[in-house]
Amino acid sequence: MSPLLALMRREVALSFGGGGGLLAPLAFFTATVVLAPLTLGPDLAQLRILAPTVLLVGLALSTLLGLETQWRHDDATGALSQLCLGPLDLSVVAGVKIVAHWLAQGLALAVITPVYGIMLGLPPAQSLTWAAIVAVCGLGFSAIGSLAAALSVASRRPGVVMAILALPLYVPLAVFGAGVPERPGAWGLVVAITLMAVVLCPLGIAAALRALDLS
Amino acid sequence: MFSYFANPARFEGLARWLTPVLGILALGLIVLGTYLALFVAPPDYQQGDTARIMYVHVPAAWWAMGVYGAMTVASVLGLVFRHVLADLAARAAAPIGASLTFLALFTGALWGKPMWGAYWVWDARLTSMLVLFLFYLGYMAIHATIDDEPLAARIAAIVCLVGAINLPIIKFSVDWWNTLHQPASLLRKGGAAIHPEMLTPLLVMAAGVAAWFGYVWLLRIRTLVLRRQAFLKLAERAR
Repeated sequence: MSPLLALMRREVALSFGGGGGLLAPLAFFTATVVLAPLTLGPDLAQLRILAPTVLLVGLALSTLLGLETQWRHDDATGALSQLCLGPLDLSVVAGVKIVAHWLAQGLALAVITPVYGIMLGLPPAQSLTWAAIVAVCGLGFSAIGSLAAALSVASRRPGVVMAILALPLYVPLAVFGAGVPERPGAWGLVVAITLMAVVLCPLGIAAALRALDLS
Repeated sequence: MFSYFANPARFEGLARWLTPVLGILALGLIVLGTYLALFVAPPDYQQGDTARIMYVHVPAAWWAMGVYGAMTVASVLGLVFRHVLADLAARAAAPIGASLTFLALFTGALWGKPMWGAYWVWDARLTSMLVLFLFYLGYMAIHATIDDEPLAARIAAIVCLVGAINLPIIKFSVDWWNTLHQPASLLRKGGAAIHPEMLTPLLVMAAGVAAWFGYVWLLRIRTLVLRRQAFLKLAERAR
């Protein structure tokens, strides 16, 4: 088996297998969605206005939650040193980890999104659009969040620091993602930023991990 | 020139006399600028005397971004040449930039109440400045929570660069968002051109804030260098 495939298998297995697999992010996402009608009232017309907020903030937070241990776990077990010594460039390793995380989380949330869209009062067609938005933004969030996770591995309070770093970086994707239903032209920007994040974040992650490995 | 002053001893030689010079310059310029802004510049024909807060607000906002630029340059130099002084310079600049960003946001809120009727509106500029403030906080959080100083410096430098790449994208997205939600924003201040009688105090204040930044920056770098030397000495004695 090629190293790339082996790593992909490991990461996907870890993403699906570790800590409840698909269930944990889905349960978390559901919990954030349920809070919306409970705090705003059951009026669907009002909920419809708030649906983008609920879906995107829920997605952003559940991405962060899932990524917190992504690099810290490997650092603690020594797997990170192995990866640094391995045949694959660290940026490739980072790219594989991002995709694996997205498969186990962003994509799963995208599949369930139409259901929640309808529950929040969105028309069915728009709920499907939202599934696509969650899928694409989810990949971008995974890439950016993974960078934030790598940058906060050595921190004494990794969870908080990671959130402080990641959430401002989520701004453009959240803005354009939420704008898609009103302006379909925003799709281009959402896809462009996601692709840029997927290509550039691994470089930043590799730099951060090399600094960690040297220290 | 940078490599010449990268030597801490040589830097200290330069900074020792440059620090008070910049401090006195900053005091002079800010006193002069305040005088010009309060007594010489005419009141705004629409906003009256309220507009005078501009002479604090605008220089603070300019240098809030300028300091991030300085921090980015220092971070690049630190990453590429792995020089301690560049790392310390980047680290020393962050709280100054954060305080200027806070000052810009705070004076903006004070200015917004009489002009817009609200302390805060989700204007594109205000929102971008708030995000810039978050970047400063994130950068400072790295230094505050990583004990290993060389590692903290490298990680923080990457954080700074990530922010520098993203700030224009965020600015663009916030502008786009703002036009989406408030198509006809009437909240633009001033006209297209600014009268020289108002421009002069503004530029004097901007130069004053620049000198003040230089003064505090050098002071903070020197403090960090001394702290580091003291720490190394203690470590040596302990051995």
